[in-house]
Order: sequence, then structure tokens, then C-alpha cells
Amino acid sequence: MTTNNPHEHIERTLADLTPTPLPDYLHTRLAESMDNQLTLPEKLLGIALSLATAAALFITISLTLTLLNAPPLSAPTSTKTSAYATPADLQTLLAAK
Amino acid sequence: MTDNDWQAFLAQHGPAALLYARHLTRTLADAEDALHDAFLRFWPRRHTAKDPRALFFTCLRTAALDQHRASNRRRAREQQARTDLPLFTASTQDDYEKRDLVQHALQQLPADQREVIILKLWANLSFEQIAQTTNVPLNTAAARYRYALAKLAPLLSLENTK
Repeated sequence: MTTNNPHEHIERTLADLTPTPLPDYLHTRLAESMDNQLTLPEKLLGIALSLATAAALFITISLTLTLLNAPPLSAPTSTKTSAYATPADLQTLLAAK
Repeated sequence: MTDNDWQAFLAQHGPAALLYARHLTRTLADAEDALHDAFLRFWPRRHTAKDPRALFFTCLRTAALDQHRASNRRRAREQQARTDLPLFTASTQDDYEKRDLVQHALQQLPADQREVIILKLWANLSFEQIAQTTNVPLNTAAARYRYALAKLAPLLSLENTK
């Protein structure tokens, strides 16, 4: 396809030139700014996750310890083997009178 | 978002963006500030844009014009701070001459025509994208480009006769 562009050679002359690349210090500055932009939400997310993990761990340990310390449901609540007074108990009571 | 994403974008469009910013501001420092601010503003919004490249140059134009207005107050103080960093790369003597000629020719253009030339030839934007970036009708952008080329023709003809 042919074009009727009277300024084609001017366009070519201009477009042949390459703009100067970004200076290194500008690139570094941008990199630092981008890093800051990236890490802030990540830091906040990290803190939130740490807190949630710590809370979950605390609850788990507390529950475990509570269950371990609680007496079993079937266990006797007294060290006595019988709810009735033994002859020795009666003797003691009589002696006290 | 990864490092490579934004670095690749910047590697591709950074040089033209800096060239554009330098034509809209008074000093290299202002242009760099504008590019820095514009990029930070643009990058998180890039997915929401219909045309991310046009958005980037629009952000850059806004930031550069803000810088330009701010620097009006300290214009005299910073006049001598104009940098000698060239606008274009050059490696041979011919390149140097051509570069100087083009830099000088570009300076002769009205600002609105010069920005269209930069956006079209070095940022490779379409006229539609240029119109969006510079906030003018498409026909106006195309007409500015034609006028600019017509003005540049005699200025660059020295090189063609060499």
C-alpha cells in the first residue's frame, strides 16, 4: 500500500532518535517508592495474621489445659470408698460425745 | 503485582515519558518528580483503565503541569539548573548532529504541537490516545501533528541536504 505522506522522511528522521533512558537514580527512587507501596499492605496483613494465629493458639492451649485438669465425669468426688459411716467413724463420734 | 511488571512497563515507556515530561516542565528535576509522582498514581489504577498507556501519559501530563505551575514561583532561581542531560541518545558524530538539530527544531514548535509530536513519534500513541491524554478532540490532535511536521520540515531540511 502506498501512502501520500509528504512528511514521511521527517517522521522517520525524528522517530530514528531514541529518547534518553531514565537515569539510574530515578529508577532507584521509583523502586524504593514502589517497594514502600507494596510492603505496607503486606505488613498490615502480616500483623493481622500473626494476631489471629496467636489468638487461635492461646484458645487451643487454654481449652486443652482446662480439659486435662478437669476431673473425669465418672470419677468419685470423694476419696471415701463408701458414703456410709464406717464403724471407726461411729466410734470417733461416740468418743466425742 | 511483581517487580518485573512495573519495571517492564517503565523500561518500555519510561524514556518517552521522561522526554514528554521534560517538554512540559522547566527542569529535569521537575520532570523526574512529575514522572515519579505520575507513575505512583498510575500504577495502582492501571487495571481500572480502558487504556492504561493513555492513562499513564494523562497522569504524567497532570503531574508535569502541576510541577510547571509550582516551579513558576522559583523560575529565576532554577533557570541555571537546566540540565545538560540530552533528550536523545547518540553514539556517532552524525547522531550528535542530528540530535542537536532535532532538539533545536522541537524547541521552535508551540508547546501544544510539540507534545503531540512527542506522544505520536516516541510514545507511539494513536491520535485517539493523544486526544484523550491532552484532552482535545481527535481532529485537533491530528491537525496539530500535521502543522508540527510542516513546521519541522524546513528546520530539519538542513540535515537532508548534508
